[in-house]
Amino acid sequence: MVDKFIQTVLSHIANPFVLGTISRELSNHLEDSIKTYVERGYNQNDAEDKAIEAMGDPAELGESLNYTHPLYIDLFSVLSKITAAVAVWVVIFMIVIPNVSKINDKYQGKKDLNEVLSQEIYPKYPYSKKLELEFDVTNTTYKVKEFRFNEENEGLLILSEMTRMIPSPFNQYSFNMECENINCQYQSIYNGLIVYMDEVDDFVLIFDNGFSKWRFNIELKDFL
Amino acid sequence: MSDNREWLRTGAQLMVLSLIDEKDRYGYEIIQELERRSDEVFQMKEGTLYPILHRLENEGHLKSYKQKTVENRERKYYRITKKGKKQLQEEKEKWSVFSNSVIKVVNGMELTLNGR
Repeated sequence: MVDKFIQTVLSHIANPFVLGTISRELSNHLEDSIKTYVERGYNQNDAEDKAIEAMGDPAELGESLNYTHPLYIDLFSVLSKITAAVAVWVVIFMIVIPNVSKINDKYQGKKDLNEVLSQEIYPKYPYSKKLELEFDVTNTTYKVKEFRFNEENEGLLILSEMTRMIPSPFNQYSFNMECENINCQYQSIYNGLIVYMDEVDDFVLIFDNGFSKWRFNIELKDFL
Repeated sequence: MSDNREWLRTGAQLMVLSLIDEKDRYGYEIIQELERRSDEVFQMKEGTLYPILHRLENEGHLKSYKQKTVENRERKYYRITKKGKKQLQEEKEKWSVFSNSVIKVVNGMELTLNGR
């Protein structure tokens, strides 16, 4: 009986988005009402009849609820929710995931780079001289921790950078490196510079950022 | 007829809003309270409450939420909103003007009748 009453109400409602909540609300109401009638001494069947009768005409109730819940309003709200959800996923796929994977790649890259350096690059330059040099380019201080070299007159300056918080007013982003006493050329790789020397000897390494020069004595003679 | 319906609608809406203004309530509780307070004069068809509640919610005068009972049944409670409180105040005033006018008219008629 209760189910038939609710089905009749629902059959008059066109909006599918409200059927579930209306059905639950009405069936809860009827359950409470039946319970009250049973407590007043009615048997279960009579209590159900009384409860349903008290509700009124199910068709009229359905029509009235149908009028209260126009489909287009809920359609609009559902469509806006779908649009918002799609937008969130687009943002996640287009912006968040690529950036997270970039960060991972960067991190991964660093890890691999260290492996590459220690396993493949450094062994090419078996001799190592620890250094503690610093020079500035714009707002970045470069530290030179190590100079590695080999018997083929190739050297490797290993740099690490430390960024300062206060940017320099000078818009100078590059630097030059020169050698005194020997001739040298260089090219940058990963975190360092490969130095091609015409001979392995003591020399003066000069960094020039356009405004200042830093001179460092590099003594290699002892190694050979 | 339509005016009559309008007054019935306003009266029912006013009673529903003021009952929910006292505390959050669910549908059946409202029906019971209406019957109890009106000494069972207001025995509306219980189903008619729900279009009123849903319309008040659609208009932003009420907000509903679900709560589980001890028997683990889900009940839909209604809470009055700020907008609803404002609406209640306005309707109370309108109703008071209306009922006073009715009493004045009725009393006036009685006086006239008695005067004959």
